[in-house]
Amino acid sequence: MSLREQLRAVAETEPPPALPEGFFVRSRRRAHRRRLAGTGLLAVAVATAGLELAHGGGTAAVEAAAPTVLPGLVGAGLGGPLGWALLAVLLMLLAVLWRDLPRRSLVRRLAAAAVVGVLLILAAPPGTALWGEPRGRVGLPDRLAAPDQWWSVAELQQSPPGPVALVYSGRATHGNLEEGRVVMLAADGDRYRVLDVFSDPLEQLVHEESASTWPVLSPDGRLLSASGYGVFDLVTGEPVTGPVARAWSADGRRVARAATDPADGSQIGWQVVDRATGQILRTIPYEEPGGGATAALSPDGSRFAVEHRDGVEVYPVAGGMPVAWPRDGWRLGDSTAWSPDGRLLAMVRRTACVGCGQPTSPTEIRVVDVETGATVTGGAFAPLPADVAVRVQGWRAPDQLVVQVGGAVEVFTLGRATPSRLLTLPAGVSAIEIATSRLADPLRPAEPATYGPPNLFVWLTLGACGGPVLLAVAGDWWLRRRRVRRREEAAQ
Amino acid sequence: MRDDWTLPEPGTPDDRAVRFEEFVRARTASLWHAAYLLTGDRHHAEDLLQTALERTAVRWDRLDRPEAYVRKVLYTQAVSWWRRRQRRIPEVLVDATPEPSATAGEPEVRIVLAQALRRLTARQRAVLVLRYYEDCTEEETARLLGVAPGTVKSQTRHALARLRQLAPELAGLLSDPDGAPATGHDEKAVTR
Repeated sequence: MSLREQLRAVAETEPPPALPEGFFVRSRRRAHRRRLAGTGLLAVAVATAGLELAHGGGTAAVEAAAPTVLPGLVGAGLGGPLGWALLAVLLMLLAVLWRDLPRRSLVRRLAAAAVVGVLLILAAPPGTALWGEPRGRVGLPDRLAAPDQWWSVAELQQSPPGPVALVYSGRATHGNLEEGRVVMLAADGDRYRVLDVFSDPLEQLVHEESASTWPVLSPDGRLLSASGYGVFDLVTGEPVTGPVARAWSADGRRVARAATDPADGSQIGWQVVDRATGQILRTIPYEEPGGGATAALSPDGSRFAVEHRDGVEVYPVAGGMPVAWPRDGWRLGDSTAWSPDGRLLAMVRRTACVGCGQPTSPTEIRVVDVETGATVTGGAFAPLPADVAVRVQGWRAPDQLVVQVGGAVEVFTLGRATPSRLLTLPAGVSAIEIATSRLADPLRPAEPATYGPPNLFVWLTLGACGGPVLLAVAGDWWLRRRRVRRREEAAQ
Repeated sequence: MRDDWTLPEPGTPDDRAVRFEEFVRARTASLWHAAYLLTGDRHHAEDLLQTALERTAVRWDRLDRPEAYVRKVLYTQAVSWWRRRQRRIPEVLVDATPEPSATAGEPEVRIVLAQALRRLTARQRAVLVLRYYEDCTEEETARLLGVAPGTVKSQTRHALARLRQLAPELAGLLSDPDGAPATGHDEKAVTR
């Protein structure tokens, strides 16, 4: 017999199988299902890309969640429930496609879908809904996050939070290597991020004499000044150029900055600058070296208050002579001293640097008339505890001054001697600054905090631990494959 | 290569399933034999044939020569990396090759040939089946498998050598693989 006949004989040893009933219809239906799933995958990809392009980058605007369902879904882009919906659709479509793969089983398909889901969540753009991060919740949370460790929290440049409501720091937030870790809370949800720098910009707040870095936040919470590390845009996470503002107008259009001596960089006065044009609107030189450390710009940016010797001088930015009155040991209530109506100024009397171990007497707060320096009716408050950080945050209403007093943020209402509690700081937090535009926001219940995607440290740790495991698995696979190949080559 | 079945005149859309069933009934045996030779395993051969018929069913409306299409899918799938790794037949390694019988009868030859075929690579099996079972020329084989004719020649040579090595008792059968066309259509016509 020839080889052909022998092959035929071999082939005929097994009887042909019978095809199942309805094979034709089922095959075509399955192919149709695959086509639909493929089209669906394409649609998901297009929708995702479209939403990402339309809502690319960080969130610049702080808005409450839309009240109606559809705009709420679409308006937030991938950062809303739509992101989760797209992920669910994607996994469902993949599961449909995998039905036709060889060796399929329910467990394998579920496991594969879970793996793909996890990978997509990890790879999703930071801040999207896939991170489960809240958005559209405008208002100050009634409680700040205080995890045991902040080392796994996403960093500013890795995942910008957008405009923030506040920043805080202290012993509890400082890392082991970096001592200047500042925690940021987004203005529209309980999303937390950190900025790691060597020296804490907020730490300066507790030292009366070195208040030169106040404030760190712009009124809208979009810019963060990190002392010697530059100014960061919290929407993009990138550093920005421009003057480091020491006082802001409420709308952020005008800032006051230090005028420095080109020769040695020392401060020789103040300048009020239009941010849009960079034009210097007014320069107020020190009459003697080492003038006042604190200045405040009126909410409309038309007046500028600065300490001068033992008095306070209020200059019209447009030009003209200042109004001056004695301060009697009181100091301007920081750069945020000016009331929203432009009539009042917060004044603080601190006695020494906090935490220096020097003898101290109680810190005091009062509200004075801008024109005369006289304490207004109801503007005197009970003395505060000694040796605690007191930092004026700004005004919540024309008659409500917000001040950090030690481990709490208090509201001082004109006419009421004792303050009411707005926020209690977590243990180990010693400094806070609230963006002035967010002070009037209502207090809302805090929601579960989210900390963004794993940061570089987490990835490095995962790589260090998981890398060898992956290498071992890959090596085993490679060895098996090589063994099979050699066997096949030997068969030739 | 056999391609005996031709589509009847197109009927109503409802007839498509009926015509497909007719095609399957008429050609299953022939296709099954090729699938079985290509895989050497009943389970995998069923899987392979089902895949090919499924694809044919999907494209049924557009196929002029459905059997040619089924065979094309059979052979390309048989040598595809993905499918090959799904159906690797576990082998038991022994210290020495089995002692060949001095003279093998027809049933023994068939068994030895089947066993030896299983130990060839998928591509070698496909080449042998196409060349010596389907009577394809080297060019047709190359076209079906999507390789160069030179590859077909070398694979055929390797496959026969490997068969001789695995089963010396098949030497007589393999020294003159009767009916195998050398090259070109003319020679094929002669062998047919």
